[in-house]
Amino acid sequence: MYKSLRKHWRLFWKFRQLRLMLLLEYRNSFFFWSLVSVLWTAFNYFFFSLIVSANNTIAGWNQSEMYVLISTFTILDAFTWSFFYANMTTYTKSIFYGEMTTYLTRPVSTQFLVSIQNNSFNNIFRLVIGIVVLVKAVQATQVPLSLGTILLYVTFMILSLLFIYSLWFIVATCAFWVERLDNINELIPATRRMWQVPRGVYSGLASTLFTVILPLGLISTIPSEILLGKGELRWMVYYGIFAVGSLLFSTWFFRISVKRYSGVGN
Amino acid sequence: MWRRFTHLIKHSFLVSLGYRSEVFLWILLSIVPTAVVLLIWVSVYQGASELRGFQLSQLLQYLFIATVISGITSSHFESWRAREIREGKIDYLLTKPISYLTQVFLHDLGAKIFYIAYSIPIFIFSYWFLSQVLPISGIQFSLINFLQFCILIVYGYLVEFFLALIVLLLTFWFENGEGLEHFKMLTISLLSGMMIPIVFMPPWLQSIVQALPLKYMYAWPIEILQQRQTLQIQDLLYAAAFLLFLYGLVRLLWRRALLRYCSAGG
Repeated sequence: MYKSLRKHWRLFWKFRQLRLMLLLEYRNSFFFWSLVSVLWTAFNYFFFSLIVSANNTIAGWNQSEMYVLISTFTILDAFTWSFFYANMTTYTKSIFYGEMTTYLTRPVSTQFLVSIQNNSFNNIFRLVIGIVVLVKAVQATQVPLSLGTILLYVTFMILSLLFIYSLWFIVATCAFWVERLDNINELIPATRRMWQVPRGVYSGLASTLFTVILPLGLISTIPSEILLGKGELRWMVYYGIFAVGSLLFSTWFFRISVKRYSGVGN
Repeated sequence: MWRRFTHLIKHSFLVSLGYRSEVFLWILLSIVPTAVVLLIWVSVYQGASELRGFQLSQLLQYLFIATVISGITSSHFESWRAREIREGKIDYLLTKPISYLTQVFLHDLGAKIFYIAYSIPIFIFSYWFLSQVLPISGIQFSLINFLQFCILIVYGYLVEFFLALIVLLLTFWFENGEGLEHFKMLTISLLSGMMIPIVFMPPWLQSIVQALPLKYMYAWPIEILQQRQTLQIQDLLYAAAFLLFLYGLVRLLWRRALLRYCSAGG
């Protein structure tokens, strides 16, 4: 167990090292895409500031609280674009083009391998902006922070990342079941708007759908509520269980789906 | 000549037909974030019957029509066409008896006709569905308003197309040419009234938007349909002058770009 963990850990960092070497080789590309990422991040903050300024509130969240939420989203988004997008694109392509054989024959978990082999560093500035604005926004709300609150926030951020990853992996794994759907990977990025808003935005059927059945509306809300001192235990427990459950489901779904794979041993 | 043109349009239409599952998914992916934005505005309007001259039902209608216009007018061929240019794969297109730019236009037009034919029923159904669960007002307009709307839709498409062409032609000079597409998207989102009606923008941005001709792409056609605006002759002249300017820029860039192009036989 220990040996296996160590092997996976070392492999994870080996890939990061390779990606860093690539970055150093294509420096211009890094700066260009970083600029694009920064501009979209600024645009996103601006867009929400316009909406909030219309009536000074969104579902009962004031401007500072909304900035906490948007910053939480921005931090999650930085990881989403850095890790998940690159890996899931390679993963689905390998299924459609019959290149999965390479991964299936490696002496490590295939799910692990296809999930960590790629990453981009273009969103580092997005992450930095998210953290800086988060700190400023929390200060502006004047909510007292304790070490316990920060630790709980970090824990739920990790759970949110796990949930996004699992969801994306499940959708990408559907590539084993469909003939060819090139934009299958765009499904999760297109739903990002759902976790960019407070869960109070969803009411009636939408509330049941996006906070209970498929709790996309909780992804940024739960960590933000924790930081703002308005987290509710029942929602935290429910969301935690759902996030871990979806990870387990994604592994199970991959195991049954991979049996449908056929390739010519490239 | 016309037969060649229609043949190319038909060819592109049939190619798009082959990708109908992807197109269906793209349409859905454009509706989901819009639905969330509508829900955001519903929560913003809590306790307010009217904000900055817009009732909730009018604003929701505005945002939905913006999504439809975006689907009808936007062009996204930059990425894959740019890759073709960078890899020196357009030789066979340059040797054809129809100019490269015309071929790009006809191809885009064919795909656009398919998209419109395919998406309109889906948009109508979505509008009906959303109007059952959200307070969106029904669309009522006169024939003259509808005509003005159509003129501006054609204008919007041509502006999108020329801007996409400019991005594409810059690929001849810049390594990350296809990434310039993001600048195009950001500019249009910010300065055309696509994401929010002009009255909700801060005064400094309002004056910029009012001065630029990008407002005729989203803000004006929607407001014409909502009977808040009427097209004057000077508006038409301004829009036509802008189109001419973009066309001239495209011709100039193309002449220079051709001199830079080199490949080893495609």
